[in-house]
Amino acid sequence: MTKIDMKANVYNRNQEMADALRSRFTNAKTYVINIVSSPGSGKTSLIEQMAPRLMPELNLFVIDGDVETQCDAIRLQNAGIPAVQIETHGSCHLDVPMIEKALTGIELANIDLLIIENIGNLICPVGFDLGEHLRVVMASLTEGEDKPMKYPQAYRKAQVCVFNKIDLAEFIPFDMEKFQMAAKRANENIDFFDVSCTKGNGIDQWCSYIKDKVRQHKSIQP
Amino acid sequence: MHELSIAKEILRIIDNMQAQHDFKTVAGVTILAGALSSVDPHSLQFAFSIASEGTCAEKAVMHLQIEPMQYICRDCDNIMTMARPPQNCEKCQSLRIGIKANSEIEIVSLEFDDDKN
Ligand SMILES: Nc1nc2c(ncn2[C@@H]2O[C@H](COP(=O)(O)OP(=O)(O)O)[C@@H](O)[C@H]2O)c(=O)[nH]1
Ligand SMILES: [Mg+2]
Ligand SMILES: [Zn+2]
Repeated sequence: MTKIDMKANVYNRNQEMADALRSRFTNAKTYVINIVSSPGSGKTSLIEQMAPRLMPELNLFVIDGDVETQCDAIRLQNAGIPAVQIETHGSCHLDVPMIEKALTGIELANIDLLIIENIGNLICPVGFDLGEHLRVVMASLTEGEDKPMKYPQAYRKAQVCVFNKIDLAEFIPFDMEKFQMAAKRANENIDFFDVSCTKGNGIDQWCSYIKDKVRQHKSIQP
Repeated sequence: MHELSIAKEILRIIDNMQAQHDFKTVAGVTILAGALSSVDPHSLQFAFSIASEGTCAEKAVMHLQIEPMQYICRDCDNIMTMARPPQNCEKCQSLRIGIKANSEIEIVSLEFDDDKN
């Protein structure tokens, strides 16, 4: 019997593939955001709100991930937003090969902003870098303030948190201080944007943050 | 069930090792997972037993260690090993507590039979 010490990181290969894809996005000057949340936080609703504010200036493209159905992509296409669906048929997260396949035949140089709506799940997608430049974790008022405590890694791996459904604040008790403190414990540098995708509050501020990011990205020499 | 993806990647790495070391069967594999790796031990063992069928690792025993949860004081760097976040630092009483644990998953070592017949 022989024993060999290896110290091989299981995520290394995914990380290498993600870094290669990120270089491809960067060279094409495509800015990529990956939105992660539990089911129903409002990822599709957020994209629906962003599109009319961004599309006059930017070429937008959406990759929508779900375990089954084309519903979300159809919902976006009906709103005039270019989108493709990835149906994972059971897989709980998107990975780099799925993104590459979804982009087959698509000219990245024509896309300024690519939004990836990940599978609704705060555990599995978190460990899989998709080559994005910005990771967004979305939460909503109806989910309770303890979520960053239960899923700290989702907050640690994100740079910004979009907090949705603030229109419901008068009906549902929610301890915002506790929520933000738990999120900061996981990630001291996380930024918050409070929005309502039904009423439109906060969406303009969020969109101008994203527009700035895209503009900065365009000016970087790869 | 991201455990299946993890099990498949472990098997891919074992496969590469087999090409290098030319062993016939793997007897054991030791895995170390960070406290925030979200690995469910039963799911990973199960996924590994299914995915390894017909490979050199089908009889391998998986030794899985999960690191304990740790918190760090952002003022004095005191590291605290505990399941739940403390209210304040045990040393300097600071309220600025951060999470210290990691989410990596590592193959620590591999045991295999030398018999090449
Ligand atoms: N009250 C309220 N409901 C919202 C808001 N945003 C989304 N919803 C609702 O939440 C549900 C889930 O939204 P959806 O965008 O499909 O979530 P996804 O699963 O994260 O893509 C839908 O019924 C939306 O109408 C909001 O700001 N306020
Ligand atoms: Mg959706
Ligand atoms: Zn301290």
